[in-house]
Amino acid sequence: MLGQISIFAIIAIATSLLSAWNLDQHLKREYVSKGTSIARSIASSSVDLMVNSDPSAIQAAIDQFISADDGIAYVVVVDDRHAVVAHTFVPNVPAEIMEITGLKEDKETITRRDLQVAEVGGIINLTAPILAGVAGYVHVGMDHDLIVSNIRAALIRQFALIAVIFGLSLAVVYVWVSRITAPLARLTAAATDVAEGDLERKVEIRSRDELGALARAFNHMIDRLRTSRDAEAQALARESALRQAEVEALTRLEQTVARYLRFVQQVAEGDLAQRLDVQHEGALGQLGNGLNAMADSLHNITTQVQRANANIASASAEILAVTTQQAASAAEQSAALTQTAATIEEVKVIAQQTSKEASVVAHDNQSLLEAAREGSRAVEDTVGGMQDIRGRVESIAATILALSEQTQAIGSIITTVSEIADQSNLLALNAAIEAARAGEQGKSFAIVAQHVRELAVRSKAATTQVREILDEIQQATNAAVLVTEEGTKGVEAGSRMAAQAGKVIQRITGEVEGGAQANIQMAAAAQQQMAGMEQIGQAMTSIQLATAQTLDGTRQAERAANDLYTLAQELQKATARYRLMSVDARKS
Amino acid sequence: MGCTRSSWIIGEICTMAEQFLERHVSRRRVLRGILGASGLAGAAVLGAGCSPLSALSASPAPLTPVQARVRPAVTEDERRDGDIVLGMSAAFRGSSRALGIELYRGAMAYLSHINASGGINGRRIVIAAQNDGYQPTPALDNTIGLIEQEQVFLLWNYVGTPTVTRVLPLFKRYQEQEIYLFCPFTGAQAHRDAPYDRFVFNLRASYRQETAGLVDHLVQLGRTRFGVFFQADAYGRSGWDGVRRALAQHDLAIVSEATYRRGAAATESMAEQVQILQQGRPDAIICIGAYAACGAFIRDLRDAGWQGPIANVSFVGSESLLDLLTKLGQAKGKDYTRQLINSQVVPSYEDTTLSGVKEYRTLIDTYDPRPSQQLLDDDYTPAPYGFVSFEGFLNAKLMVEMLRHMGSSPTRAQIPATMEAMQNVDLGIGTPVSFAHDRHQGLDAVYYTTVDAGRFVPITDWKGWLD
Repeated sequence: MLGQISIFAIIAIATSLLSAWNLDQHLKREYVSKGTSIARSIASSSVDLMVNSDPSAIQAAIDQFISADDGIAYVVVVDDRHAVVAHTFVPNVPAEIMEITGLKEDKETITRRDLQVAEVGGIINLTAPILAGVAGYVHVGMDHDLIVSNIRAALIRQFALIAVIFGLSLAVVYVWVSRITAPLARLTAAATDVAEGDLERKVEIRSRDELGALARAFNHMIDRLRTSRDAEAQALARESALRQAEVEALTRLEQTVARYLRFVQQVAEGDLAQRLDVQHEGALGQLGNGLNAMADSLHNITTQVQRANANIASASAEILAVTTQQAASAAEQSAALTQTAATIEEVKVIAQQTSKEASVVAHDNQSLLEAAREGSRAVEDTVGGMQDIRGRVESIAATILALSEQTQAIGSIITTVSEIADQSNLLALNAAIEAARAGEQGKSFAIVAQHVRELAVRSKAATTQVREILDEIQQATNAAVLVTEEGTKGVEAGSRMAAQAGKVIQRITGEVEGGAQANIQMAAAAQQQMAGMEQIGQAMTSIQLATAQTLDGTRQAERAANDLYTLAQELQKATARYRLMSVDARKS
Repeated sequence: MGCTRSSWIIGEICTMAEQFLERHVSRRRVLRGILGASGLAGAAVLGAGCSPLSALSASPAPLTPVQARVRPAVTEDERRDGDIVLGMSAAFRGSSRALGIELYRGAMAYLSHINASGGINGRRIVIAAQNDGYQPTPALDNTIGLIEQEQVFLLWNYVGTPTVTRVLPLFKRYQEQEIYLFCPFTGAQAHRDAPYDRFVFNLRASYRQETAGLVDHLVQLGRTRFGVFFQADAYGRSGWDGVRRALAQHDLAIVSEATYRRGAAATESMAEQVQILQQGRPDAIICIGAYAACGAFIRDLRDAGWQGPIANVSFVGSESLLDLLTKLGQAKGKDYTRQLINSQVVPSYEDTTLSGVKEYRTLIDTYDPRPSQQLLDDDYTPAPYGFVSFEGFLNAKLMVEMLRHMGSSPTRAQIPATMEAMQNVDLGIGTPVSFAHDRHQGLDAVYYTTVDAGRFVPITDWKGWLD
């Protein structure tokens, strides 16, 4: 089978390889002919362009041949001097191809060259002459790698197809062969069973071919084998029944002796409830009855002893129960007392803390109170200072007012002086006129008059100056009056504000004082509470001591009762090993 | 001072009272009531002169949100009969989206102005915009849809060489319907040369002109070893070819070149390209790419220690590149904007001596147009002004000029004759624009700009530019 499959596989692989080679040849030929025709068509269509137009027209023409997957790697056009006039490379023409474009070419036919280009890969280069080489040449590069990859793809497809066909044929052969081998396998299995002695199974093949006949003969053989085996089995059964009866008689005798022996042993171990079932007559029967009588008398004695024991045990149990209960309640009482004492201790500690806190707070309060009082005093000082300032400002104002009045008096005096000067001037003038009229005699008088006039003029000027100064003083005093008035107002506002602050601080002080008193009271109360707690604690301690003594006594009693009970129990256990018959059993 | 002292004394008294209360539970409540009341009264009297703390904790005034700028509604989604519909397929999403969006914004600023002032012969001009993500195949699909379903009057403002190059054969296919493409945002040669040149009208100069100008200037500055970093497609090849041709004029050749794949993001590494380019020991590098890839390349090139001049062409999107380089530079604490030359195909939008620039700035401020939200994938913050949107604006001016010449009922058949008859049209950029039967490109001028103080400014002194 494996050999056949291998041969089949080898044939498949060989076929694929052959067709791959075939495909490779075909595709190569096709690409070459495609390239050839492209080269030829560019060569023929660019004759006009080479002769008439500029290279951009040729470039436009060859650009159309370059698109994604048709296998053309490049197109290069050179002129008659082998200079490149258009190409499709980016960024430039590789050196290997530049070399080819410089070669001398056949002027009639298309030349094929296979080459390797570093950046492009395997290339089939086809060169076609333009106008028999007079106008230049066209080089078309076919991408060999693309051809190879196409062939590879085709090969993979072919292999896949063959593999699928191979798999399908295998499946068909398997089904066909298994249709013949299945009945044969069943016959073989049946024969194996017969060989191993199993005659129950038959072969179920109902076909009418040779296999069917074989199966029927096989079944017949099994039937015959089964009949002879059954006869043999019956003879064997009869023989074994006789041997069985002999063995049973012997066994029964042994069993009876053993039973009696077991009974004696049980009695020896204290089991007085059992009696022998005497089935036999003769010596064995008598022995059995004697043994039963002995057990009866032992049973009676034991019953009486046990009854006395039970009474003792129940009495001691009752005593134990009572003492135990007593001990438990004493313990409970003691625990309760301990707990109470602890609680009282806690309460005491709390009372102590409260007392301490209260005194600390009272102290703090005191300092706060001090601070508040200090604030109050400071505010009072401020108010006092303000009042003082106010008094001083008012006295300044009064002084300035007096100054102003005196200035006004000076003013009126100056007016009088000015008027006197005017009149002196006039008089001097008249005197001068009179002096002139007097002639030579009045000459010296005229000089005097002149002097008087000059003095009058100077006093007039002086009074004007004084007047100006007085006006200035007047203005200054007026301003000073205004300023002092404002000052007074400012001081008043300041005192008002200070007084307000004083009130606020006083209110705080009141509150703080109230708090402090409450605190002192609280501290005193806490102190008293603490003393009470102390007394309670002492009382509790003496109660606890008494309780502990009681507990000890109870425990001793409990221990004695326990001992008694244990004793009764042990006694009961000692007699209990004798198992007695129930009342009903005894009556029968 | 007095105030504080009085408070302190009352506080002390209160504390003492509190301690007292701790020990006298029973009187606690009464006393607390008294002390609480007096304490409060004291505080009220004495605290009158002290500054109240509550004044400091006044709640702050609520912040008022900054008002968003109100934009006039310029969406042209609802089309009306008689509208002139222009089909536009461009990148509105993906790594080159800034180009499509900015081109649209510039064009729409001028069209909004025209539409607001009554349109052309009473007709509004509407853009049917579709996203192609700068990929050729979607561009092809969009174009067929725009022609067949949308029945657009003409196609314009396409973005990119690979997209436009792929679309070109369609014009041959729809020859009888006379479909024309206006002002594609690409300087490639394919639509400037036969056989497709007759279906396309360009305003901007070609990549050949841009690259030739860059090479000539750099050669004059003594540079001889040129490296080219370019996109691996028709756009990159077109710029590469331009550089090659320009170098051949000076008997020079490209010393090293490297490509990158279209759609590369700024997060990608360009270290490999940098290494390949450095092998040729270049003393100048010209990039033909999109802003995301070029930004990444410039970052890696500068990180590798290469200090020479790096040139970019107009398609890169100068503002987007500058924005990206500034961000990359901030992340690394480096300045990636040194020694950059960007060639432009329109004059600087900073040159307000030009009437076109003034008009552009006014209209883009007034209308601030945005493409329909369905076209965009996420939040895009447009630049206030830029070369790309200015080009879109000039494209729109040229378009309006042509439509004005076509009368009240324009037909596609009129297009070639009308365009080829345009002579010395003034777009307000100091250079007159002319077309002819064998001239389907309005401008030849290339402008050179460099970064100065965080902006692209015209290069005036080439000698002083290179240190």
